[in-house]
Amino acid sequence: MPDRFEQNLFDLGERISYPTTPTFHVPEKKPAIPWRPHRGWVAVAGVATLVLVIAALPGPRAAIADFFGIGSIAIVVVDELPEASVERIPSGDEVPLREATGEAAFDVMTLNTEADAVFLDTSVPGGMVTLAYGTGQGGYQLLITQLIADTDELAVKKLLVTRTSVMLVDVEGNDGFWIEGEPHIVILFDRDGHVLEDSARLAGNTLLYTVDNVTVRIEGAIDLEQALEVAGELSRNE
Amino acid sequence: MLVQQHRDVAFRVAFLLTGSAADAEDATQDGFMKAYTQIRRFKPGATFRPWLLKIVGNEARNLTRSGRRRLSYETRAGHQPDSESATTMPETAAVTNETDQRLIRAVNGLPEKERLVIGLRYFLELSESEAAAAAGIPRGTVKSRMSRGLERLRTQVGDLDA
Repeated sequence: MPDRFEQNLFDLGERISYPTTPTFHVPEKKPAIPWRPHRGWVAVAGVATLVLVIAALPGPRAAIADFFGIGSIAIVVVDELPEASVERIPSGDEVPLREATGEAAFDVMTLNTEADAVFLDTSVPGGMVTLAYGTGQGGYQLLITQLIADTDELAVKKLLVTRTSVMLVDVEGNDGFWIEGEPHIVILFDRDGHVLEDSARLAGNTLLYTVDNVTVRIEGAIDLEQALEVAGELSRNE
Repeated sequence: MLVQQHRDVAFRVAFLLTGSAADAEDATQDGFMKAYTQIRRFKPGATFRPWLLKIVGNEARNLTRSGRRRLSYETRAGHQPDSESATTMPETAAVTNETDQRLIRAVNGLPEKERLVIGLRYFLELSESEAAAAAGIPRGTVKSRMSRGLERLRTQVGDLDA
């Protein structure tokens, strides 16, 4: 928090005179590789506005071909996925919802239906809360993960193979990604940017978006329409 | 979209670094073009603004290596600078109130390196890491220059409520 003297400097800054900002230009042609580094850069109108054909990306094998990102999550496209757990089990400890909402550095959104289990991972910057639904073979059927979005720290990295499709979508007025097709790998990072041990696991269809200061990840055996319905209910209960 | 979103802050950073509206325009335009062509170098998980400001800052410093003109801040109530007169505005330009007048005189009297960091951090409201990227110096240097600058300002200006 700035002290009073510093606040006076901030206030003065609002009254400083600058020359009028000129008009700047970059080529109208879009870069050869589609990219999307951070939330809010591109207004996306409607579902399925743009399908990113990742399979067409050039680049050396086994090298990072391209990346996208949203909130504190980076999405990296690779040629081969490393080995990872196939069970849909969230990271962190199972805790009561009240404890998770108390510990997280953001307002946790919930569905009308009570979760079968709530997980809290405090090693992720700002805390990461996962609402888990429907136990079964291979873990939970639906995971709703929330973590703080506005941070300089990378919290989650998602590795996609080039056969995975990523679609830019509108989620309740917010930019989002729909990832489907080939499974992808989720890797978590701690506050120091180190990979959390055993955090890598295979994930299925996923809707990823940010709302206010929170990155939301909805993952499970669901299609886009179902994922958007879940996102809508979360939004209404915000 | 990206140009629209960041053009003001990029241009103002370049203006603070070059002390010239014309040089700032060139540096910002070159910076946007470099960012566009080098987008693949953008690191996963990073935020765009510091990366852009670092590029624009480099361009601005390259333009002014032969001699940077000293910039004096003034408020909007004073004379509106243009490309010819931006670097020669008098410190005694009209200001909106007494507090502004005392502060702006003190800031303009700071050593150049401290004045730049104060401008980047407080007037443009950059984070310390953004100010470091723009100025091309380590974050620790931003902190130390800011600390020294603030100390001088507090000593010179005194209690602003007095």
